[in-house]
Amino acid sequence: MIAPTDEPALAFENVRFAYPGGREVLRGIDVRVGAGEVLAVIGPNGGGKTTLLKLVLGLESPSAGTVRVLGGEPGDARRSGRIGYVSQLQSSGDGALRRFPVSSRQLVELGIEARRFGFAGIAKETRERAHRALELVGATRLADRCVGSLSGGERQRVLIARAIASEPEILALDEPTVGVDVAGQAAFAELLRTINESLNVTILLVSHDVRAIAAGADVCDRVMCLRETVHFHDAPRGLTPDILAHLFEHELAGVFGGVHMHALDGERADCEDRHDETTGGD
Amino acid sequence: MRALSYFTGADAAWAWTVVLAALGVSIASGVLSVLVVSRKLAAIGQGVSHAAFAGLGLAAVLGVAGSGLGLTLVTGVCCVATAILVSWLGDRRGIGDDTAIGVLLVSSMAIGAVCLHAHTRFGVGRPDDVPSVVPGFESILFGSLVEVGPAERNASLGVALLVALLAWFARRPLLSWAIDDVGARAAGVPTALVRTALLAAIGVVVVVAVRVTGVVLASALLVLPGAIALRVSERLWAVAMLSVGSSAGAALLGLFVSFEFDAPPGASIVLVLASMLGATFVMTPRSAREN
Repeated sequence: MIAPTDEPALAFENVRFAYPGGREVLRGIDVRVGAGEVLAVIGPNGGGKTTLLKLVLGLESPSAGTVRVLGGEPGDARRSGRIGYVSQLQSSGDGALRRFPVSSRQLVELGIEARRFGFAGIAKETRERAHRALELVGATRLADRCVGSLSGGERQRVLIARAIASEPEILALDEPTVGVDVAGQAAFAELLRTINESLNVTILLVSHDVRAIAAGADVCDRVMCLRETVHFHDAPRGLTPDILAHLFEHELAGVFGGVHMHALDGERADCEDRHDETTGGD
Repeated sequence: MRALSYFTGADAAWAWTVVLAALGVSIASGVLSVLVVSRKLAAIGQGVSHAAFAGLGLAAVLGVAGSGLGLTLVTGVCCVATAILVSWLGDRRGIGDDTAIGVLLVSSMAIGAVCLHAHTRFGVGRPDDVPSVVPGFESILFGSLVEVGPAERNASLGVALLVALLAWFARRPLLSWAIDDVGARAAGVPTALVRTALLAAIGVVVVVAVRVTGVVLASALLVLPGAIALRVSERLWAVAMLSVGSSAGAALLGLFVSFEFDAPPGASIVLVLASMLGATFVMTPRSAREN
């Protein structure tokens, strides 16, 4: 829900980006995101979505143009804890998170005190904040469960609780609905609305999954279609199938291009024949 | 009981020195082990411990292998440098951690072998009338209690205290990084510092561990306790305690076996740990968390 304010939460001015020695990943990015706005960024894999997030987080610097986050340098906003972030790796449940023996509560508390060195225990205020964050995402009952044992949807809630526990001004989510079913995606959209309204936080949601955006269409103030440059940036109702087809044409070409459909049909028939033979006894 | 006679006879002081040295090593490695296992750094332990072999060879040709301090310094520099080099190389484009470790591990063994050959065959770094000032290959590779003295005991206990204090002091950034390095970096955790500090700590622990368990088995101490603890519990502090506890318990039991049967200490300790890990498979089937 867009709150009137002079300073946008995010401002990209004519941004270009290329990895050293690589082709240009982003060009002509000219986007402003108001404080409290919910922006969904969709685009094909390799379209520059994660790079865009890295620019917001200040983990990469633009080759040309400027990125301003909350009125300052992107890295400063991240380091001072004003951006909550859920990485793609966490969402997908890969990585050490699955192996690591932490409870949901500990994970959220660690999120708040991640940068704190010292011998003292967890601060009382941290415990309270963690409790409030878990409550807001409806994960209080998961507090003492080991994060590695949670389902995809449960883990996602806990990760978001961790990201919002420090009460950030921007919440950045990279592919948050990976491995979440359609019902889960609707619940997720509802969760985003709750967070957005309760905390008035700017939400940047990055996904290559059109279904996730469709499920969250009511919640998103704007959708941005990204493939190297911005192909669309407006309210979700302006989004047409043509724009999406254009956006994902390379991915679709990758799936179907260069493969003769007859040959594909033939192979499939072969597979089915063999399948029948091998499973005939069942 | 032959083992007990060591503690009542003329060798009692030495026997206690050995026990304390092994306890120090096992506690320090038990503390780091959970991080090593969950961060998949087991191979780095291998790479770093083999760097001690290069250190030993270099110390021999430099003529300082005869003194405990000189030997510890040279192997220490090699191990910590390897740990940091792995961290640095592993971050370069086109080289992953596994490649960096593979390259450094074999390079270390080659450097060690060439240096020791020059030392024993051509007399580099030793007086002409002494065949060699370094221990035999078997004790370098698999450990030897005879090599353990008060200096090793003090180093081992000191390192255990230092590692435990540092780990406790930095536990929040360490855990944040261990759980999710990208997220931790995004949250402003100095991940490069945390990772390098952990690898350097691994290097330091390996330096004191090789004197007791030997080069080949030092890295086992960094892997097995954490693996055992992670199979038994999914509570953070229980896992930490179990890791240290199983490591220390295995050190005591392994030493007992070593004293009793005159077996190599490192091998005995590692076999006890491996049996413990085996027991977790028999006693607590944890199909839910296999990955």
